[in-house]
Amino acid sequence: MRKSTKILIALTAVMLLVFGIGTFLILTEKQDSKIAKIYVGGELLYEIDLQAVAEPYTITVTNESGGENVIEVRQGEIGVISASCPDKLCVECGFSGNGLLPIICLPNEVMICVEGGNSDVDARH
Amino acid sequence: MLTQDTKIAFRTKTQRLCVLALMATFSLIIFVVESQIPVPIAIPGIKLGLANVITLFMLKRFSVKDTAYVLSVRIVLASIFAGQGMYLAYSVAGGFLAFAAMVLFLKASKGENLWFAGVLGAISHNLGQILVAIFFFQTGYVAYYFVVLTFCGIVTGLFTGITAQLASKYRIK
Repeated sequence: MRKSTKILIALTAVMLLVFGIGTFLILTEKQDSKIAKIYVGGELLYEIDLQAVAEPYTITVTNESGGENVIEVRQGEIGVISASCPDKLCVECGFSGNGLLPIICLPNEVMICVEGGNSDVDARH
Repeated sequence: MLTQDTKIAFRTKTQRLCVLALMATFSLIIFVVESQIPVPIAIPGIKLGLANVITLFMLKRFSVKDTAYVLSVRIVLASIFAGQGMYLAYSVAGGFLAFAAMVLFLKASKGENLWFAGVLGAISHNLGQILVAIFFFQTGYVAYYFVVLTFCGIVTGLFTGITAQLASKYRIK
């Protein structure tokens, strides 16, 4: 085996390890958060405090080209229950109450992220 | 052992047209078959990227120019098959960034270590898509996806890269 091949194998192994650890940390990250932000086409449309939701309700967002996503808001959780996009990945993502990965619907340009609500507390000091 | 490193020499223009059209067809068939394979994790942007085997194979055995033609045809037609215009922006950004990275790597390595070009291609494909996503969503929040996508990209890139490296040993008659 050539030297260059060995170096590249080592490099690949290191990258796998680094990004593997990173992936693990991101997927297992828990926030005691609960501010959900819904963006459509880069614009912030809704900001919902998930802790304060008493009754579950749905929001329908429509983008410029007519794509629709139905978003259900429950206490502590948010998720997409139906969408007009072909792949439905946003629906399969399920409900999210924490974690760093936003729920994204690429075709309809819809993004939902749940952020930490700690910033309000800090601001009082 | 079959002779390696030989670039294909077209005898006539017609032969070139036919072979390139065949390559484009191969990559589209691979794309369609791949889209029927269910992905176990619901994270947008994760796929096997098997069609990249054709691009890698062509970079090894064809000219860069011919590879670029076939890649362009594949990206445009695949976006039509996928049925969403939005995907075109993501595919173009990812596809050409990956293409540039693979061409540069193979130039530096003189065609050796084709498998690593696959890994590099997968990572830069993800990078291109994330940049487009940041542009569309106007937020850096999606950057978290880059880490997850890159991890999966290295694994799938290894797979496609090794496949292409093994395939590139064989002659096309």
